[in-house]
Amino acid sequence: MSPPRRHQAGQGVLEMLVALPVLALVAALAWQVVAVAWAGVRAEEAVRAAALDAAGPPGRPLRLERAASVPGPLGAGHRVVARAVVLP
Amino acid sequence: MLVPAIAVGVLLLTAVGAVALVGAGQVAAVRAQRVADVAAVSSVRVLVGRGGGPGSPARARGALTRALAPVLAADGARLETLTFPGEGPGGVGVTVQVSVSVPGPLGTRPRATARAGLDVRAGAPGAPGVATGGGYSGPLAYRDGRPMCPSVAAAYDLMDAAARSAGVDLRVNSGFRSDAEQAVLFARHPDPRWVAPPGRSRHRDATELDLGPASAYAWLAGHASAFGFVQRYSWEPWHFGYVPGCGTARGGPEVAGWGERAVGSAPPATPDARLPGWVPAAYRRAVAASARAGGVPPALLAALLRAESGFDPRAVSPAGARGIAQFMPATAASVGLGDPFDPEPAIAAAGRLLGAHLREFGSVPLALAAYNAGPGAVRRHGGVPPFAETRAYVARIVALTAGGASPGGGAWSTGVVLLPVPP
Repeated sequence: MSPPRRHQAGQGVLEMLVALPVLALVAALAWQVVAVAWAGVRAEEAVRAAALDAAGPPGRPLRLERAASVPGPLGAGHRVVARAVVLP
Repeated sequence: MLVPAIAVGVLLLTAVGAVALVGAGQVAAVRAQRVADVAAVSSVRVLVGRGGGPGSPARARGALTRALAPVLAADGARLETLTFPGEGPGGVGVTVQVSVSVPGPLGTRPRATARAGLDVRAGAPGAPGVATGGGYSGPLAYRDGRPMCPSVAAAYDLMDAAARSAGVDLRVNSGFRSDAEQAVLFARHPDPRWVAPPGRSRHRDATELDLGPASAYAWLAGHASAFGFVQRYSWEPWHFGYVPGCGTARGGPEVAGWGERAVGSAPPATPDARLPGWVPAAYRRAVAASARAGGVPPALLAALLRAESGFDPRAVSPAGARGIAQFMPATAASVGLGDPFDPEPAIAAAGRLLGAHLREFGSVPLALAAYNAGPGAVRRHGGVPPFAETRAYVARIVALTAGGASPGGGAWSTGVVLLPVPP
């Protein structure tokens, strides 16, 4: 009875060893997706604030651009850019 | 073994995909709201820049749809609805509500709605100064920290807005000067060619402004006369005087007539040429003359009459206001107006009354609020009274001056704000 039990335990450990990196990868991927979305929301909010405060000759379209960097080690150096056109 | 692992993998990837979809949906929702907000604010700015709604709601909607095209195209957004809450029989107001949709994940189109309008909750512009020791005796308004009579300040606001539209940023370097202040200046530079002796400077009348910067001189030489200002001396490209005067200024040398030629610029047009094109020909001369007599910018008086009655001399409001300037019987009696249905005396009385409010409150929005709700209400509330009708009235007239009157009543601000969207 004991050899099969040891065998099952070994298989469980092996599965855990395989699953852990996969789980970590999936978690990192999910975190990265959330980070990109969060940066997108921040860029949108920044360009919205700039558009509402925009000053310039009335009636002429003004093009604005704001960027937000993606947080976390995987997103280092990456930015999400939001653009808007506003009539001052 | 393999099948459960694949199942778990698919499950995990599905979870990540779901997170990505939720994230993309959230970004699209934020973008939709941003596009709606910017479109609403842009719409009001366009309306104000045009001098109010261009007539019927259908025409205004068409004009705004065209103007908003680049704003929406930048995000692939679609204009779903555009309405004018509070539009009245006189045309659209200056409140705009827009609803837009933007591309979202999986072919969805998140929608958002925003409303914008003019904020006219102007408070009293601080304790107004009072001019003494010069030719002008009366309240002072301040622009760029420089004193001038309220009529000049209102006219300057109109000119400042026009200059801003042309990319010129005007600055007031000097305004009213008492004889004592002039004496100090003269003592420093006792040369009458450059500094007038005390009692001889036009700055004592509170109608004179020294304007800058130097880069604005060319624009001023070509456009100041359209706002009632003339360049007084050919050798001083910065010195401009307001020809209609302060209305109640006492003493001091008489300023030249309305048609005085601006030094170094083209001869000014006839007085009524300074009025917006929508003022009916039959009333142009009366409006120009009444504005001059009351010390009121002609475009402001014209905007008031348009908002009051649409220039209908037989108009009667449900509340009993009568005539082209919509005088209530008691108000008409108080300003010595016998027949409010007679347009010329009514326009003259409106010019006198608006000028008096302008001088008392030193602010265009407050003067308009006093015309609509009474000066007592403005004093009680210390600003534009919190009456929806009065605020809409002030906003509409400020817009009709093509953005020439700052809704804040002082230093220029667009005054365009987002408003809560009712559920």
